[in-house]
Amino acid sequence: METIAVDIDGKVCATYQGLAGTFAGFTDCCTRKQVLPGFHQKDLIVGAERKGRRLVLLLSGGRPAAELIEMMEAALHNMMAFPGTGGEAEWVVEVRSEK
Amino acid sequence: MALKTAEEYLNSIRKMKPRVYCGGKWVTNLLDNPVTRSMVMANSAMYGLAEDEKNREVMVAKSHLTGEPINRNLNVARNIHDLDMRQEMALLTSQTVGTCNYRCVGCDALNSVAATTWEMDQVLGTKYEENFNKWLAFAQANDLAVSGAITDAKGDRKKRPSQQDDIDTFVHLVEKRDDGIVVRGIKVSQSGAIGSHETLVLPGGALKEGEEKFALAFAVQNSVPGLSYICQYNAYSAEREMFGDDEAELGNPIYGQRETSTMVFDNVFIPWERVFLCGETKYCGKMVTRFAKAHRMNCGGACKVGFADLIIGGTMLAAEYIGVEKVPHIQEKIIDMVRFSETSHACAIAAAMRGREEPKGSGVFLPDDLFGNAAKLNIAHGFWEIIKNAGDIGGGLVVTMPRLKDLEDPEVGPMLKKAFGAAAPADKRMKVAKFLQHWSAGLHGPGTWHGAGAPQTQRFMFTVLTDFDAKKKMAKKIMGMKD
Repeated sequence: METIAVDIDGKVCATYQGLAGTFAGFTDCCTRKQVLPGFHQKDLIVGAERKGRRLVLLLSGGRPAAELIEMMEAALHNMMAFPGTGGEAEWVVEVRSEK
Repeated sequence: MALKTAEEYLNSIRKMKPRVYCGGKWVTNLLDNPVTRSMVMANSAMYGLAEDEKNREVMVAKSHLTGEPINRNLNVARNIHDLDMRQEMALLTSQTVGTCNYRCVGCDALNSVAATTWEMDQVLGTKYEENFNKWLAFAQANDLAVSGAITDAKGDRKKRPSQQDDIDTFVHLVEKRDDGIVVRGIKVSQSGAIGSHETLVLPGGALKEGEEKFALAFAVQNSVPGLSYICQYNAYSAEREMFGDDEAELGNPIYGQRETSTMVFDNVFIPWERVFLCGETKYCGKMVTRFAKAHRMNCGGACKVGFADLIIGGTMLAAEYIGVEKVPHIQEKIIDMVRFSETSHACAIAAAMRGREEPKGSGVFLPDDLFGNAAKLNIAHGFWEIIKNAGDIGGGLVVTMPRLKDLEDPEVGPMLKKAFGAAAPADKRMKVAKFLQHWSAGLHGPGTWHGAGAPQTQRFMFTVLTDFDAKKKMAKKIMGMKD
């Protein structure tokens, strides 16, 4: 199992647990495929870069934090990662929206 | 949480966004589209069955990995009782929904993967079983709906996979990376993947040295980017779309016909933790054969028997509604229907009872191959007889009936009531006729023929598994022949 933290605007807002390899899969979708799991539109991801144990994601549109939280919940659910208990996260998805 | 409720499954599926194409459009919500909804509702009923205490023995097992109660659809059979309950589950689920238990193929696939990864790790020193057990424990803990995908598109059958003009007709390896593999290709006739959380993908058949890129087994999330589903579409799909939410008009109102799709993998990344075979051609045949061994017992000897129970019930009602239930030749035909179906069920029970650990030391139990193949071959032929008799006894009305809704029309309704009222009112008679139409003029005939492998594969297995020399010797001995 692995724990993934979602960091929005510099603050960890949720953690998710999935099978080991989930972060690698999620990162591949965002970087190589340029698609956020569970969202099929191609223009959603403006930037996606893996930096060590972090994935830095920039999404299109001026989306408020609440919407980003909801979107990440859906995206990780589609990768079979479910809300965790908030323990130490090995991986971080850092999400921002275009201003 | 080791057991999801039906409602929890539905809530979970509502959040899933697989890329699904059905009848000319992309489906944005599986529960809003009447065709895809029928598949999801059938899966939801499977979860519901496990909630009911009276089904516990059949639907709930104990995980050999954690000791926790789990849905039997995620269980690896560890003894004869497990095998027997597995086939009973196939019977119960078919009797309940009159269509696929869409977790069934995944269940038989995971038993095959459990057996084969254990063997590979023993012989080759790989870590596939460890990967598989971690994935399975995760699936069990979250009670995931897991479907199975085996049949490749296959292209020109005269050619091997690597000789195809387009090798996408077989799922194959594109790239090996440090963190996983990239795969592409097409699996067909896949039952229920759209409404599952994950699909367990197996090789489509035995492979030879040099065909390593096609030797793959892995688990994939159903809405991973790069994976698309093109749903089957036929007259029954169109009918379901036409009636929308007014499902009462349909032969199997809630759960529908069997829904399958073509799964297209467009360079999909699979992390190593989800890979259970990659390049070991020698074990592909074993993996597929073990799957078939499990699936023929369940699909042939129990699932279709559950369908037969429904057809027999509907046929008897049809006979009663026109007042012919005591006519000798009608009774004889109904007895024949029971004979075909119960013979197959007997084979499934025998396959379970004669099951054994395979491979030795793995702890995995698989059904007896010969009895499982007998179950499937018998029902493949018997099912046509069953639906023939249903059409026979149900009468021409089964295919000539107007819409059920027409009974409510102020002008033609009274005429229809007059025309089709018999020993029972017209509405009851027509409802049963529609039910029998669903079976006898629907998709289940060819579905039963091909599901778990077309009969030619069972005939081949008979030639492999039967000791014909021993039979000749027995005959010679009785006759007193020396050589």
